[in-house]
Amino acid sequence: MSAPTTPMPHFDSPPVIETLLGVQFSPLAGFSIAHFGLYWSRVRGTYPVHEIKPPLVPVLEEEQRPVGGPALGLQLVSEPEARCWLIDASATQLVQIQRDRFIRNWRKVRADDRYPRYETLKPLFSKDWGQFVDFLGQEGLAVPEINQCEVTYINHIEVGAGWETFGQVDRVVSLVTTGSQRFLPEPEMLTLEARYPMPEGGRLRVTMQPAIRRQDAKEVLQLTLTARGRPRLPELGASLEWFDLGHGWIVRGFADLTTAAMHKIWRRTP
Amino acid sequence: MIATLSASSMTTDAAALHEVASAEEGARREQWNAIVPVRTRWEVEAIRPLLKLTALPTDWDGDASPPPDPGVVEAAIRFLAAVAELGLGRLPQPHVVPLSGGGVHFEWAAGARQLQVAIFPDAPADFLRVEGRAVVDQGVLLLTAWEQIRALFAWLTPATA
Repeated sequence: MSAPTTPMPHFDSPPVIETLLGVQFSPLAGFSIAHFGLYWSRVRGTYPVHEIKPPLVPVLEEEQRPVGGPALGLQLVSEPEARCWLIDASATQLVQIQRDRFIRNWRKVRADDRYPRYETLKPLFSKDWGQFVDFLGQEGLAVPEINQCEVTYINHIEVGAGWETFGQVDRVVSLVTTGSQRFLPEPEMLTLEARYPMPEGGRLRVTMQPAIRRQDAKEVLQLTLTARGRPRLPELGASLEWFDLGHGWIVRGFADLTTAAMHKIWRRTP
Repeated sequence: MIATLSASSMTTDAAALHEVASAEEGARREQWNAIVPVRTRWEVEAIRPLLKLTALPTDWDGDASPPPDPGVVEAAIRFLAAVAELGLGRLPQPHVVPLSGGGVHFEWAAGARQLQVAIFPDAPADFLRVEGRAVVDQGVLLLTAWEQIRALFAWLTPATA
């Protein structure tokens, strides 16, 4: 089933707590540690907080060969690689940059924070990316050639909202069935990892992990959906198209994977 | 030339050591909203009270003690994950209490046997084994000494070892 032919469901109250729109590109020649500071000085009004993190290794979602194995990579570089987080005053918006990445996250911080919706987040990505590319141009650096796009949605399905124990995953995920007619009892725990090839190119990855949320010590099922693939062209317009595709796969995939009972809780329409 | 070795993927989080250790695609992503993955029910019953201790006010003991040190909490989470990784089966729910000075103390009881583990901010962790009312032994516990950890928990619950 191809994603675009399936109606796009809507959830009034989705359990999403973090989203990511990101692009990967060929490492920028001439981009050094100093450029992190120079770029931050341009956007510090919007993103007043910074943190330095280890870099992410390149990830390419090939058509036939899924990305697999341990996510470890060895890179030989001429100066220390780093990733810079730039965080806004509300602590809900994050821009991550490194020599071959530009990523924008939204996260839920307070209990009453509402998911701002993809239609809001995509233009924010475009705006920040535009500022970044302008900065690169002013520094005499090349426009990045995008080779991979990623859309990720992380959902926290909290205990007490449709399920009570980690064994009751069948109440949340439609892939799993349990019951008195079966030999096996209710599982103590169940994790899930699935990969779906996207006919348009790329792959949707789904993981479900029982966990304790650090912020409030609450039991949650963390359901993560990541769509990743190569855009039609190595530039922003094609990447935004790919984001639309990836977002569609994530929302439709989320609806497919979860149960009607949970959809009521999340107020699905149609 | 500088070699950098790093864990992958495109999302965020500072306290992702535990996630990275699991080496699964979903769990290893560095996530901005932090979680502690769990595999067993007893982990839930150990980690929830541990995380709640971080909300203790300074002077919770009337002796100016701080809440458990963040480094102690991270070490405790890694220790619990390591115990779960041993696959010893269903362990009893531990009692988790704060220690003056920023440490934490775990106590597992199974029948007449007790295993106590204390993790401190500025000293090596230690253990104490008790059977009935008699101390069996005690000493330093290296939190990455898998064989020692396995032996301690195998002693506690021999049926699951």
